[in-house]
Amino acid sequence: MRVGLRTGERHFVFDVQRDGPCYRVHDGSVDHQVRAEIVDAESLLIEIDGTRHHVTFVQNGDTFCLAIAGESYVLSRQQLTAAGRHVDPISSPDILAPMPGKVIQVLVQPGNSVAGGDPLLILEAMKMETRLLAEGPGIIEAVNVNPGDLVEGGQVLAVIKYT
Amino acid sequence: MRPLRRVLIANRGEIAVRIARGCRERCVETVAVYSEADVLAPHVVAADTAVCIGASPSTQSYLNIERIVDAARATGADAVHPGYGFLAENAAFASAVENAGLTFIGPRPESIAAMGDKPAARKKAREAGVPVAEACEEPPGETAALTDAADQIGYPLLVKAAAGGGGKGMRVVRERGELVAAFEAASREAAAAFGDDRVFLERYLEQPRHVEIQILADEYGDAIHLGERECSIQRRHQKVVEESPSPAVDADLRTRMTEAALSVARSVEYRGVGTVEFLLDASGNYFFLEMNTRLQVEHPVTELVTGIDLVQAQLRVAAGERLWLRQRDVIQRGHAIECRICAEDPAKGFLPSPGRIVGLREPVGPGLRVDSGIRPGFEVPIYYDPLLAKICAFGSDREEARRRMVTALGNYVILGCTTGIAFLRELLQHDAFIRGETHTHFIDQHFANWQPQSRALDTAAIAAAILATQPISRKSSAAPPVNATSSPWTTLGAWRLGGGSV
Repeated sequence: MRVGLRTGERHFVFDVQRDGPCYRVHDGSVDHQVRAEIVDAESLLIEIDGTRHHVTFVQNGDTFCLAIAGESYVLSRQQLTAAGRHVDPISSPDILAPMPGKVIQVLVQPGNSVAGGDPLLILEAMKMETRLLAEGPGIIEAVNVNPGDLVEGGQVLAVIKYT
Repeated sequence: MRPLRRVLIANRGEIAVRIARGCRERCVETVAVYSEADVLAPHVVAADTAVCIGASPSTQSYLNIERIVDAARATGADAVHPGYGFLAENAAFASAVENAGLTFIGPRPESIAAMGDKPAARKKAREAGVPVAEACEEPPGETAALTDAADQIGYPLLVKAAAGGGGKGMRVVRERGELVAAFEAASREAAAAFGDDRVFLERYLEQPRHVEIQILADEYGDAIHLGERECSIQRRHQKVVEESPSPAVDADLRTRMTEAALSVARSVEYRGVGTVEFLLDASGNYFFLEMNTRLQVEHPVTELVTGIDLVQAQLRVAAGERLWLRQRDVIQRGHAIECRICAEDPAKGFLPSPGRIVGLREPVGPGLRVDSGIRPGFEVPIYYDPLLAKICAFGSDREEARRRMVTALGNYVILGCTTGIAFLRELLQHDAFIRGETHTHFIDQHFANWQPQSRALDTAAIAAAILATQPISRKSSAAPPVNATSSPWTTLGAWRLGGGSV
């Protein structure tokens, strides 16, 4: 079975084959011998090529949160094309809230031209202000929020058309 | 004596949970207050009674003096514990509590006011014979005179808010040309943050250590110290790692600094627990910074090395007890380190990262202590400080405590919001930290532009791939069926533990 996963900029494609109590996981260049056992409702022991790790995890649909040795990761399952490659998302014109918070200021209006690095909105969470900046020159197509609005992490706050 | 029967805790998060525990241990009932964002928050569950005091923004709840005093009266509380932050160093709040006929678990309002104004606090310290950094406490507004005053101190210097705290209204000025702009910016920021635009100039120490002395005093004028804590590891002028004892303080320096701290405390007839903060330079010179007239976030490290419970001590002093300890009864042993676990991303300039806690496992073992304000399923509100929990490690010496902390952080799991656990684990393994070469710019010097090493990413990806291709073999003796353990987790919504569709 072919599985695609992504975290931030990193993509993974694995071929996973069950072999009795073990798995063979091929990552494109190396074949890994893997054993996995559920320990309790939230963790598993996974032995990869002879080294054992205790992994804590939770799953929400195609998203996995995992913690190993003080590090934590969020990996999302990715759609694969017929050839087994990732579908690369087109670079997004959406300005997303990087975290849940409150809109303090909206500095642009639809139709405004902005340069790369121009502040677009100011968000506040946990007593800290964060400025959201334009990644490049463009024109503001839409602004979806007003000062004082509470927003979720990942919510589309504004749309920019990069020129 | 005024025995306390019921204490209202005017705070939230880990400190409110910690105070409730201390009260319960002394058979004192507790009243929690909470905002609409904190319904059934851990501190609410930890108390005997709870009262909603308003909307989520802290100005409408945890900072609302009238609502809190009303809640205390309505629930028959006889005392109020302010915790830290919020109203803890607000003299008007302490007065309002006392005027309502209740006991304020903290110093007299006059002591809070005297230490809340930084230039006034510096003056008190100086009069008590305690060294303060060179400063101009009332800088002239006129540019030429201001420049002269700054030249007298020398560069670099600091512009600081008189009513300051938490690094707000503070600017470093490295040369004369930056002075006026920095002065005006700090003044504006101070006006916005504290409603008081007064700022003053102070000499800036390069790479000092932050060393503070814990004080315990009764209302009859008797005061002792409980040694020092070093809190040099900071980001944005806020502490993240604290320890006791300080690797830089020897017996002679400890004697001098603790005597200086006691002089400051006596100068304001201090009562209860409080902390006198100093900056310590590389030559062993120390300068009074400020006095915090409350329980500190980092109080557990002192509790671990002295064996004295500071919350219980607060309750006893507030009840009118005379000090039950003499200075010679306070014996420090071993070493303790604390790490603050915050909902923030160290790889993105410590950007706040509130969210829902979908997975939580706190480390346990010899010499470990976790003070936590979260639980699985808890939605960390966007309105308050990002501190989720504190972990302390105790060891017979610094190295043992440090190794214990590194191991414990490796076993600390928080899923759902980004925290500094991986960052702290690396910080504690840095050679300079191991050698005890800590100073307030440590993170800027050694961890600027830090990115996670993601050593375990490949392992995590393989684990996720296996999970995505359920089912997994399950040893019947090792694991209960997922359904049997799923009930506490129903609050997780769409998040499923283990995924176990076996």
